[in-house]
Amino acid sequence: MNATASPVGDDGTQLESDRQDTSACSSGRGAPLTVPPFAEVYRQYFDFVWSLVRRFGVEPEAMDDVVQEIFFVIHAKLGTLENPQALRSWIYGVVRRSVSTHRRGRRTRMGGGVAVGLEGDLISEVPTPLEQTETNADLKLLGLLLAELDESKREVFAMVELDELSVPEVAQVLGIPLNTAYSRLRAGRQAFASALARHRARIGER
Amino acid sequence: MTFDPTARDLIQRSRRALRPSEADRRRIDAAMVDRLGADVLGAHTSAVQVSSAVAWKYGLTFTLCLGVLGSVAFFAFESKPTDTVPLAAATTQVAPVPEPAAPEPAAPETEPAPQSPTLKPANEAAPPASPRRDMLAREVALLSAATSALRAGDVTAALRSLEEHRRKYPNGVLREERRTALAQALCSIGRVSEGRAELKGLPSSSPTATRAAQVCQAAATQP
Repeated sequence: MNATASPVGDDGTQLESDRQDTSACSSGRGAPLTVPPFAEVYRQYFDFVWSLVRRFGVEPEAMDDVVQEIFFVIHAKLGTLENPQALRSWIYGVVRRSVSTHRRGRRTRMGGGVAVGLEGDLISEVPTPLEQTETNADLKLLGLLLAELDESKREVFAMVELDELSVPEVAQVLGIPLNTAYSRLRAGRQAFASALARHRARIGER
Repeated sequence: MTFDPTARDLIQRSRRALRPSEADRRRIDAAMVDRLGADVLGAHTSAVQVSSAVAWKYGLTFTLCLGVLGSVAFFAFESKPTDTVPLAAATTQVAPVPEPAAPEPAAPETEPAPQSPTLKPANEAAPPASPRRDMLAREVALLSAATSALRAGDVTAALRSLEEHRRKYPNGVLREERRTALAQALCSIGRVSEGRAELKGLPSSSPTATRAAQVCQAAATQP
């Protein structure tokens, strides 16, 4: 993986994600040279972890438990992180695994379940607190639009646009070449914008 | 490429919708402090949490004192038996109050059954604890104590914590971390063959296992 490649798309245009790589998400975009203490990690990444857990569709009554478990794991394993610059993508991996474990356990307990959405199966059809708020309309629409994207595009698109990972971080997490990540992002943005335009046409919005 | 402005607006609103509220943060802060100790969040610990933790401890102390006074009164005046009930509850609660990294004296020899509701005082800000989460918190506390001791060069203390972890949580979530820490501790005091035995079967890609193997390698080559 070429982690230092210039963030230029296949057509040679400068991608907007280049700007995001340095400005998006104030939490944790510092690329620390040493592993920071847990308290600092907690402070910097609390919003990041919480937002991820929500986006991954964890049911509201389990949010606190899952978030706490994630930080317990981070607390226990932070000292094992050898590349401090990978802290953010490492935390992302911890969250994904923890949510995955939680969902497996939940499916076992509930005898299975159907889910669609952002990360393949990470937006649950189970009602969330989001559906009880004004913002639910946005999130519901977001889920519908994302469902129209191919899996590979959706994954990269959601990681960059919603989880606010940089494209190099996405490439690292997914184990794909950097240029592939940029290509998928660009295609994902186009597909998302098209899906939104179709939605607006359907509801008669101009 | 330029992202469609309408799509960008939707993304921005969705990001905001996904973020935690201040109440969410305070609730998790309080639960973290409750489970891992008041020092876990460092300077970040808010006044609310500090006051909550301090109030909790002072409350327990006060309750204990009341209990002692109550028991004195009981024996002195043989008052109503119901007066002694809070004392029993209070002493049950006081016993497991740990320092952040200290093992709980009341913990069972094996992986614990679901936690008794009297083990910790109720914390209004935190949700009810799940047994699995509590067990993980105790595992974390033991492993943290061990790794802190290792970093400080106190191998004896590290081995003590690791042995306690092994005894209480032989198949715990952090068993691999325990084995690598144990390997590192053993090798650092020259017990290289025992240390290497601990590393057997662990994923070679594990950073901690790699580090422990390096410690063992270095120890093996020392004269």
